[in-house]
Amino acid sequence: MASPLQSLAFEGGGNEALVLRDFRLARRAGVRGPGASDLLTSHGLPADIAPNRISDQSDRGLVMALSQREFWLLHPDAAASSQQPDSAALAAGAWPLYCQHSHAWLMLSGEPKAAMMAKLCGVDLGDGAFPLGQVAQTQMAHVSVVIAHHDYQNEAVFSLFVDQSLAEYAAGALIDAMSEFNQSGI
Amino acid sequence: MKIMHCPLNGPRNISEFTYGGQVHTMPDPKTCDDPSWARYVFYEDNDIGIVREWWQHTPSSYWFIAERHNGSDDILRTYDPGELFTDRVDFQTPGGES
Amino acid sequence: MPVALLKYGLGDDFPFEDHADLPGPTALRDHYDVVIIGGGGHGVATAYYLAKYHGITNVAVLEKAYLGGGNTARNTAVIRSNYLTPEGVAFYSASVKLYEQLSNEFDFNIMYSQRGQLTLAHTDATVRAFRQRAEVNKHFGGRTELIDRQAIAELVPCLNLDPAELPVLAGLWHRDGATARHDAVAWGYARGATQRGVELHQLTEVTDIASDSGRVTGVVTNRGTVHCGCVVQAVAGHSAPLAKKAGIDLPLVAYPLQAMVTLPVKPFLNPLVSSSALHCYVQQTSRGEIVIGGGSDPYPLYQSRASLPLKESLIASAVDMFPFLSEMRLLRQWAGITDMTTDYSPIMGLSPLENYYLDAGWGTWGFKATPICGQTMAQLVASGGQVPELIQPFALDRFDRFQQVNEMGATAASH
Ligand SMILES: Cc1cc2nc3c(=O)[nH]c(=O)nc-3n(C[C@H](O)[C@H](O)[C@H](O)COP(=O)(O)OP(=O)(O)OC[C@H]3O[C@@H](n4cnc5c(N)ncnc54)[C@H](O)[C@@H]3O)c2cc1C
Repeated sequence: MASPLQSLAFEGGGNEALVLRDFRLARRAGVRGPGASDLLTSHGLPADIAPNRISDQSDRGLVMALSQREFWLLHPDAAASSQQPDSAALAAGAWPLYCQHSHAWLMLSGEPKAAMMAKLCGVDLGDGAFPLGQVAQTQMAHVSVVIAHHDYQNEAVFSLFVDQSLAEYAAGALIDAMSEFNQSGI
Repeated sequence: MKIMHCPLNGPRNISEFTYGGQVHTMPDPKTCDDPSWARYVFYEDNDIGIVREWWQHTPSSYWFIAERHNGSDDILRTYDPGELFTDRVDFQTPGGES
Repeated sequence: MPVALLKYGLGDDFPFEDHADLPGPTALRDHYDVVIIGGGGHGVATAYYLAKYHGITNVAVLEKAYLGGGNTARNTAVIRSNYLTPEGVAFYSASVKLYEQLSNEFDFNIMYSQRGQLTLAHTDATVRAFRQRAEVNKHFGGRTELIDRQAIAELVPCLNLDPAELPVLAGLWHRDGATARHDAVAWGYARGATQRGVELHQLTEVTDIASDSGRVTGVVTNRGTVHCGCVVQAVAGHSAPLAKKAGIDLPLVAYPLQAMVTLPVKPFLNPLVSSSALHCYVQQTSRGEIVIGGGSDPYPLYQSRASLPLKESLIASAVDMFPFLSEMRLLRQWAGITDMTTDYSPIMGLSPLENYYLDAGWGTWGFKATPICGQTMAQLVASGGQVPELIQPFALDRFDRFQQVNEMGATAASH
């Protein structure tokens, strides 16, 4: 059986069409724990991001806050890193999160993305309820997902993080839901 | 679908949450006797009325406390456990390292 | 048409069964030797065995609503003995044996139908657990074996052997598995008990329990106070709140359990079929309806409206097992409140009050135990508190001793 992930586009599409892109090979890392925000500050990154918000640090990537004590650093244009997590982090009371290992990263763009996601997810992702910079930790097609609304290459997109082992399943569900909107295919 | 208000993530479908049992005070495992430990592990209050419970928002692994009426299923209040628990609990096995 | 029937059709003397109905309501007396709280199957069975086999007839069964209207009315009537522990298997096997004779015992047809129960394994670990259950069951005289996909396909030709991409690997085939008409069981026991002098008081709710120096002295009801020699409580979903009125804490949590039924169709499904991985079981009643049952609701609640996600998942799993069910219409859906223990075994026997006896913690699996509960609880009462060997493992104090009887794997979703 062909993997639904194999058919994903890597280039941006037109604004009307829904495009699902595979960012599993892009860089991402996380920290969690009482010392997490101090660690961010010591690296010159903002730690005053409210939970469930994502902030664009331009060339320094995106900082996503999942709680007061958990942050993910996302670099859509950098290759996944094989660096060992910082052992100094542990000392500072923050645990490294192996996001590259644990979570697959998919990116959804195109005008009707919120309408399409309404088929799979109970949270309202329309611009009014879910503006740029907002993050939702919820379920999509019965599995856990983190959805972040941010800009990528001058376009508003949803980044979707699901467990690595569910990437295939989630991509299948997304492509199935997209077919109603993209008559010409992906 | 029934909606629960998560203190971290806001209102969500009840299917996003996992029930984690009633909130009760843990006896000191080092000093308590078997029956009181059994009471802590196996027994709940069992009144029909407002109960204080542990719940987890599954997608974010966030644990919080809810006050819910277990007869009407009305959820009256949800809040961060930090309101009740301020100290860290460390477990020690008898004679062992922590 | 037999000519004899014509005779009745033309005459006035219709062949009424004597005592077809229960005696009408009477006043509550001031004192009974035994008060049984709860007029479900367990309560009336206890009264029946007390009256018939121990000659104890000064007994009142107090029921807050109507006879057999609690979980006895709501259950899906799976009767089986293929549990896991020696204690459990011995106990449930004794119940199945009583069921097999119950229509004769009552001279009243309970529509006992031994069609066999099939539980599907979708993982290797489940196959291993089933092997253990099969061997323990055989040891206690039950008829249980493991069968392969081909044998499953022959038994249930319309079953989807690859539901939800979870291939069926093997099945636990329990020939003794059966079903019966649940109302008939309650009515058979109630009729037999009341014919022998037991009083069944419906619309009589116990609101408080009076005790004095470690002994129960009576119960307070919405119809007045009744004194008694001893009390048996058999109230299923409300066990813990009721026991609390007697000052007794029970390690129970109440969860709703749902079931649903379709419109009737021609018979096509003989065995009772249950899937360990899909948490769903499907069976066809003798009326032709398809009954769908499954696991408990996800969180505790004393309300039978129960939760929507479980309804969804039950239907989805049933359709995975039998895809053509998607074409059928549901007739009704309901739930009962079940009193769950942590080890999925009941709480039976003595309580901290000397003459207050417990039949509780029946959770999602107590219909099949109705006859043996009646028999052993009657022995317990008649002997003044000698606990029959069969129910000793289910004592309330097993939790304090950390000696649970773990039947979780053999109970969840199979009932
Ligand atoms: C949906 C569902 C499916 C099930 N499927 C199965 C199955 O397939 N196989 C199986 O073996 N078991 C099954 N069970 C479990 C089974 O139904 C119960 O364990 C069993 O019926 C318990 O019988 P009982 O007589 O103790 O309780 P009940 O029949 O519930 O009787 C208790 C009675 O006590 C009364 N009562 C409560 N409080 C008071 C009070 N204060 N004063 C007076 N009366 C009171 C109630 O009105 C009730 O009538 C199922 C249960 C449900 C809900």
